Formats: sequence, structure tokens, C-alpha cells
Amino acid sequence: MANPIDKWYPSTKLMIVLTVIIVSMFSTIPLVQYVLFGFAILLSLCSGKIGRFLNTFFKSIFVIVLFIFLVQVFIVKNDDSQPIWWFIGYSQIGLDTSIGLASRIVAISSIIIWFFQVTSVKDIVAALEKARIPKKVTFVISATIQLVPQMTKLSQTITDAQRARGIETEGSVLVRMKAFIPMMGPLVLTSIQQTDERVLTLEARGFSAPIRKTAYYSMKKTALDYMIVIACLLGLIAYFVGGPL
Amino acid sequence: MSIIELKNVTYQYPLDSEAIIKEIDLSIENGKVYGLIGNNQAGKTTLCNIMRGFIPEMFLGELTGTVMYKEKAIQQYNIGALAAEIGYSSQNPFTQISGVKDTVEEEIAYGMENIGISPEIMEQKVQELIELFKLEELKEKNPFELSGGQKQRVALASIVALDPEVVILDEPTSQLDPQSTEEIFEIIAMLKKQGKTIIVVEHKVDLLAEYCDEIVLLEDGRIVKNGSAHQVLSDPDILEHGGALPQVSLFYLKHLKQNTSVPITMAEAIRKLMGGVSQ
Amino acid sequence: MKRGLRYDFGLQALMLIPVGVSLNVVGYQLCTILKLPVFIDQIGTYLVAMVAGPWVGVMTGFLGNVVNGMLNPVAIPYGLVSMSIGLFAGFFSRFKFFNHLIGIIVACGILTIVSAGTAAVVTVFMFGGITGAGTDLVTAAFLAAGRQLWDSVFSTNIITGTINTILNFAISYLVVKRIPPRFLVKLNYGVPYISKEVLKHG
Repeated sequence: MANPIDKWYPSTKLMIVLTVIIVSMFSTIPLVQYVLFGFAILLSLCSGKIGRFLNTFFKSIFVIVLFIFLVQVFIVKNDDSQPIWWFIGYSQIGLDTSIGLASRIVAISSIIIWFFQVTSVKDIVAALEKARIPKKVTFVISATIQLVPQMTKLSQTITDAQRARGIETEGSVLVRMKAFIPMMGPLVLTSIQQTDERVLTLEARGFSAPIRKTAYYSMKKTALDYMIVIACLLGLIAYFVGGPL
Repeated sequence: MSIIELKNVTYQYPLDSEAIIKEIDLSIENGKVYGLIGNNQAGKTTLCNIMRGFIPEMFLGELTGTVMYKEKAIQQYNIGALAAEIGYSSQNPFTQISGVKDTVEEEIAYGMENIGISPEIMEQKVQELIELFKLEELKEKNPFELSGGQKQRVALASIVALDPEVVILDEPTSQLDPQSTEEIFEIIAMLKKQGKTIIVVEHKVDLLAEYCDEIVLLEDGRIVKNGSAHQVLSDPDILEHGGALPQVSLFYLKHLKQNTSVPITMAEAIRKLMGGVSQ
Repeated sequence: MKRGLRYDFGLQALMLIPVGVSLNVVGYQLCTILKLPVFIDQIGTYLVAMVAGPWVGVMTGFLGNVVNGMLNPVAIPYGLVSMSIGLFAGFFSRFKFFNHLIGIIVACGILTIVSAGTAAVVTVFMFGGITGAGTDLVTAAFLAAGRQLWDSVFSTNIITGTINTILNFAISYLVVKRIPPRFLVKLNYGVPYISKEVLKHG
């Protein structure tokens, strides 16, 4: 079920993101931000990722946007605040500020969310390698992405083992915090030990060899990639020449 | 021709009060299979690390004496480039996985990427190795999700991929069932046929008796026995120094009370018996 | 042992970056379960900065926020906070501040100000003072009491920042002291954390 957009070269998709961000930063009217947001939704639809997109979006951005509204509109004291009740006042300036802020955040965040949903880290690393980014950088990125789920699993295993030994791990805040520290110790120790051994493994695979690395898996730019990038550049030029909105 | 040569090597880990390897002289000859045996604190893994050049560079500490690879001091080689010459696999299957690749295929190719092998050759070799190590069903899986034994096979495949001249294996079958263990040793035999030199740390002396040319017994950081497999594995003295005897030798020495021309493998014993009968 | 931007990124140190990031994530997950305005999501940054130095600490902090940013882009600008923590903690470790109590107190004080300050800068400029976490209630309280936006955000961050710094630092410090000496010896900045008796044997 591979979507064609997944196959676009990562730098192409990055170009789209940068275009959106630049337009968003230079725009002052909220309408532009709404359009950009709509664009991100459209892209997600075409990528077949609309469900996950909305899921991630609501979990992350929505809360902030809500808070921004509430605080700016009702709590921050601007010149035109009209008190409603106790410390809650209504401010038109607050409303405008919050719409301006929130819409920009929404536009930029949504395109970034889209980017990470259609670009796998493996592809990003492959593109970085092609761009001659130093081996150490791509190594750290790959290793980190792989290690994070392993560590979470390990922390769970340790917590389970401790529960089996009678340490309370669920329940109130205090209980959880108290269970956290004895879990951290073994977690860090085990990780550092494994890291130490893995250093040898990596050298046994030639990590420090002073040779130009080749790639087993690599991506190629297609004509479509070049067209999209050109379209973005043209779009940017048109935007600035026509006068930033 | 000795491909690896240790002369009067003593090594002490930083913060340790005593040296773990003491005055070792060892000559590894090209094209032979060496079995390294001894009890757990004898220093076998340390010795492997020294022969691969990991000690002292990655462990600090004090190393005296000389370690030569192909008649050149091993410190003069780049530690990563040496991977194409000396393959190395350690005991813990979990840490043998590089942690940088998310499929078994790519894991096997990783070493080859680092030494600059072309993608076409890599593809071919990866397929060959997957067949050889029986990893077809696992090739798309994340290496972290494999069992200990499967991880070990992937790790072995990854180092064989680099086509090194010497292969150092530290307890390569510790997590494997008997069948897989036999398969690994068959691969060792195949590597020997290709002219490679192999050093295996193992406790399974019966298999060592079958496949090794030479045996080195280490005790407390010193070499106490060093000779052909036949010599060492039929010598009851090794039992006092942390070594173990193959079942066949034990049988001949203890039950038949025979001290000379003791066979060390079943096949050998049978040949002897058949030879005796026909006379 | 040679130190500095060029020497700190050996393979041993590079491998600590994923560990640090993962520790941050583990801490962060606990935070979300607890739902308190307290963040123990910098344990990894502190730990790595302490034993591998400021520059590796900066990378750990930065990468941690980028990883979080994949699911919540808001985390990306806050990378500035983690990076500054990594930087300062690393330099404090280098100049052996953490070896005695006074140094620890001074360092924690400065770290609180630095992290609170950077957090406030990011919060005000990017989000007009709102982070979407529990701290907003505290901010709202300050605002309601009549303080200006900048002031309120900074005060909020100082209060939560003090607690955060102390917690994160304490946990990472305790853990670092427990790391077996044979690992600390190999790290550019790890030797100060080995207890004196062990060092005498070598």
C-alpha cells in the first residue's frame, strides 16, 4: 500500500515545508495561514495519512491553540480589556493576537507533522548520506531512532521485574515517583554497559575505516522531484514579487 | 607463516590491581583453526581483544610486549580498517547488533558499506550469506526482535560478509541449540577451506576436537597448554587447569585407562576400533 | 585526555547521545502519566553532559527535542532550552563544579536561570506565553494578578525551573556516581566521578 508521495525525495518534501514556513512567517493576515493549513490537510489526504495526521495534530497542537485563545482573550490585560468577572476580562486585541499567533502555529506545525509522517528516518538518513553529510552525524541519527524504543522496552522490563520483587509501581503520584528512581539506576547501567560493548561491534564492522562509505539502500531523485522543487521556488518568487500578504 | 604473533604480552586494565594477561607468547599460523579454552576468568576474551587490536586502544590500560599482525605492529593499522582483515564476534548477542539498521539484510550489509564495497556486490553477498546462515524468513525483520541465537547468526553473517583473513569468535554458539551449533561449526570448516585462520573461544570441547587444528589452554592469564588438538585434548593434565576433555578422550583415559594414542573424536575412535578388529 | 569540540566526539561519546535521548524520553513518558507541571525529561541531557562534555550535551539536548518534535512540532523550538542545559552542565562538569556541594548549588542556580530564561524566551516569542502544559495555569495566575506577560512567563519558569533543575540534576548525578569506574575511565569527562579509593589502585 505504498503511496507515491512516500517515494518523493526527502529534500523535495523539505522544500515544500520550507516554502510553507517562509510564506507563513512573512504573512500577516490569518487567511493565508488558513490556506496553508488547508494545504497541509490536502497533502495528508493525498498521502493517505489523513487519519494519523489528525490524530497527531489534535494531540499536540490543539491544546496549545486552545490555551492561547483562553489566556490571550480572557486573561492578559490589554488596553481594551473589559472586565467580565473577577480577573477574567474580554479583550478584542487579545482575540486578534491569539488568532494571529495560533493560526501561524497551526500552519507551520501541520506541515511539519505532515513531513514526518511521509518521510521515514531511513529515507532522511539515505538522503543525508548522499549529500555527503559526515558519517558521524548520520550514525547518531540512525542509532537514536533505533535505540529509543529499545530503551522504553527495557525500562518496562525493569519496572516489571521490580514489581515482581514487591516494589509498588502503579498508583498515586508519590508511589510512581518513588518507583522511578530505582528503575533509572539499572536502566542507565545496563545501557552504558551495552553501549560499551556495542562500540567494539561497530569497529568490528569497520566504523572508523577511513574509506568513502557506500550505501546498500539509496534513493534517487526523479524528474517529479525537480519539478516540485522548481514549482516551490516559483511560488516563493511569485509570493514576494506580488507583495507578501 | 604466523599471521598473528604475540611476544611477551602482559596487559592490565585501568583501575585493576593485577595484570589479567601475563607474559603471553603466542603464534597464530595462517590457515589453521585454533580453539581457545579455559575457565571463565582466565582472560580468553581479553586475549581476543588484544589479537584484534581493540586493546589497548579502546580499553586504555597498560600493554607491554609486541602484538604483530602480518609482521607489522597491530597499532599501526586503523582500527576500523582492520575489520576487513580480522573479523570479530563477541559473546553477547544483543550487543552484536549494530543498532543502526532496521532490517537483517541491511545489518549484514552495514560492514560492507563501511569498507566501501559497491552496492551491486553487496546485494549479491547479502543474498549468499542469507542462504548460508539460513536467514531467509528473517531478512526483513528488525534485528532487535530476533532471539539470542538468531542474533548470533546475523552477527556472524555480518562479519563473514567482510571476507576477513582471520576470524575471531568469542563463544559463538553459547545461545544456539545443538543443530544450529553444528551448522556454525560447519561454516567454520568452510571458512577454513577458504584459507582463513580461525580462533574460537568455546566450552564445547567435543566440537573443538572435531574442527580445530590447535588448542590453547589459558589459565589465570597464562598459556598452560599450547599444541595440536590431539595433544592437548588427550592430556588429562588439562583438567587441573580449567580445561575440559572431550567425551571420547575421557572415556579412554578414565574407563579404558589408556594413556597413549587416545582418540579425541567419535569418528577417530571408531576408525581405531575398526582398524583393531580387522587386524 | 584531550578535550574540546574536536576531541569530544569519539565513538564512545557518540554512542552516549542515543542513550541520553532515550533517557529523556523515558523521563518524559513518566511526566505525561503524572500530569504534573514538573518535567524530568532532561535526565539524559544532564547525564551525558556530565560525562561527555558540553558539546555532546548540546547534541543530546537538541536531538531529544527533534525526536519529540516529530510527534509534536512545538518541542522543536524548545530545543534551545535543552541545548543550553547541555552546554552549561557540560562546562560545569569540566570545571569540576559538581565535585563539591558549593559548586553544585552554584551550578544548579545558574542552570535554573539559564533554562528558565531560554524557556521564557521561546514561550513568549513563539507562543505568546503559552506552552499547553500545566505551567500555563501558573502563568495565568501570575497574569491575573496583574503582572505583565514577560514577567509572568519568566516567573513561572523560574519556579518550575528550580524544581525541574534540582530533580533532573539530582537523579542524573546519583546515577552517574553509580556508573562502574571502568566505564567512566573511558569517557573524556568521566574521571572526576570515580570515587577516590578506586583511583588509588590504578
